[in-house]
Amino acid sequence: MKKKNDHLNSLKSGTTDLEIANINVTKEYLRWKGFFSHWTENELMQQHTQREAIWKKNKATLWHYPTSQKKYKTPLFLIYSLVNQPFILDLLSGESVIQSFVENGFDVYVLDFGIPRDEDSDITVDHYIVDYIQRGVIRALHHSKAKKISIVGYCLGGTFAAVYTAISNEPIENLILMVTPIDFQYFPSYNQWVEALRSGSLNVDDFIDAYGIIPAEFVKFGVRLLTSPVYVSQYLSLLNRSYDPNYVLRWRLFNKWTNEHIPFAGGAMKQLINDFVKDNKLIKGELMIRDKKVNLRDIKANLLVVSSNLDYLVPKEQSMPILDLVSSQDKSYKLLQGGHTTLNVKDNKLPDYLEEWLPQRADPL
Amino acid sequence: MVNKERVELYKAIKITSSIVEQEVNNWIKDQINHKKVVQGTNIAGKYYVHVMKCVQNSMGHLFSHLNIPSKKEVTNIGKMVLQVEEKIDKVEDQVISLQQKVERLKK
Repeated sequence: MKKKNDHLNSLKSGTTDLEIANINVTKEYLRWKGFFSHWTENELMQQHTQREAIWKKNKATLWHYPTSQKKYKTPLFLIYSLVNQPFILDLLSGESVIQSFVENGFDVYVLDFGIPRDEDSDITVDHYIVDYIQRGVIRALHHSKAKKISIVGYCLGGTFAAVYTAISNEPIENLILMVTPIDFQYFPSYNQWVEALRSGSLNVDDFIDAYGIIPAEFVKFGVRLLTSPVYVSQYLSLLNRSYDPNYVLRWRLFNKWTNEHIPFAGGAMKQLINDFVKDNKLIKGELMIRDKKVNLRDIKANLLVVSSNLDYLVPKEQSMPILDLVSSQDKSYKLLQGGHTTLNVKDNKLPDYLEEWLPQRADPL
Repeated sequence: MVNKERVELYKAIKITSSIVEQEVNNWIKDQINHKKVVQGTNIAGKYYVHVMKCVQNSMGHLFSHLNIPSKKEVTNIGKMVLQVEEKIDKVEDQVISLQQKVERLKK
């Protein structure tokens, strides 16, 4: 009986390979166990890097991730998108973007906009730029006692970062835009919808007003419609490698992030659709934020623009035009191999494109 | 040999499914990307919004008779709390600004 139990335990842990009719039963057992663990095991939530909240406003929180070995005077200020939660930046130990910055000697501040509720329906892009981002940067500068700061924007957070940098009075040394939509003239699909929106024959304002806050399910549906309306291949990717517990863990965490969209403030959604998508005001230099004209020529910070070659949500054609519009003397562009969420962090090392670019521009100690 | 084939089978399923998925998605996008679908959605959307507003108003009236606060009323309280928070935030900003000025003067 004991021998039978030992054998079963070794089979479960994968330490013994049992082969029957040339089929590796152990591997197949682990594969299917790993595959179904997505539905059978408890929900995962991991927080790896030590952090402290230094400012809160409404649902937003400014997190400080201190570094134990500070190597650079200029801290990083990360702005994430409004459609997902920023925990993707600190998803898995060893592959965490935030952890890689901290381990490499950067002080990191992350602005988490939080999850909007009904009372936030009137929040517009102006509020996000001035009341949240600008104030957050001022708090981060005050907290870090740094003279300059680097802004890193992801997806829509990058659009906000660019708008903020253009109108800011704060000392912004570097601006890094990751898979950021800037020029909304180009759309890879749904050109009939975009044309109808631009001609005025399609108006979504009343629909947004009726809801106030766009529910998370609608946001998820919209993102899926733009990228992959039918999305099953990720389960087959899991099945292909579900015998590997590390892969299953990474897949489950990523899948959780992918499915956990957050509601969108109606005021900001209307402004994004009308000012950015319909009229493309950011590129034309016609965008106004709190009565201040946003001119991308006013961006003088060192600029790094990063796109991915398989990004169907924000193709490179939407990101690249900013390079011709800013006044920055130091500007670079990097095209990565991968999709919208390619972050390329391994063993807590900075990704190659940042390793080459960021440290020399962050005022080393 | 069988085991190797099995491993490659999973890979083959994954690759084939990705190709099929891509084709299905392109087909769906093509079907949706038509002027008539846009026009139909626009008209249906207007009716939907009208019905939704009627339901929301009716619920508001019903709740007032039942002496229960409606979602709109609760939301308004939330908005007032945000206004108060905004004022506190501005005071805090001024304190920080004053602190910085004092530190500069000390130097």
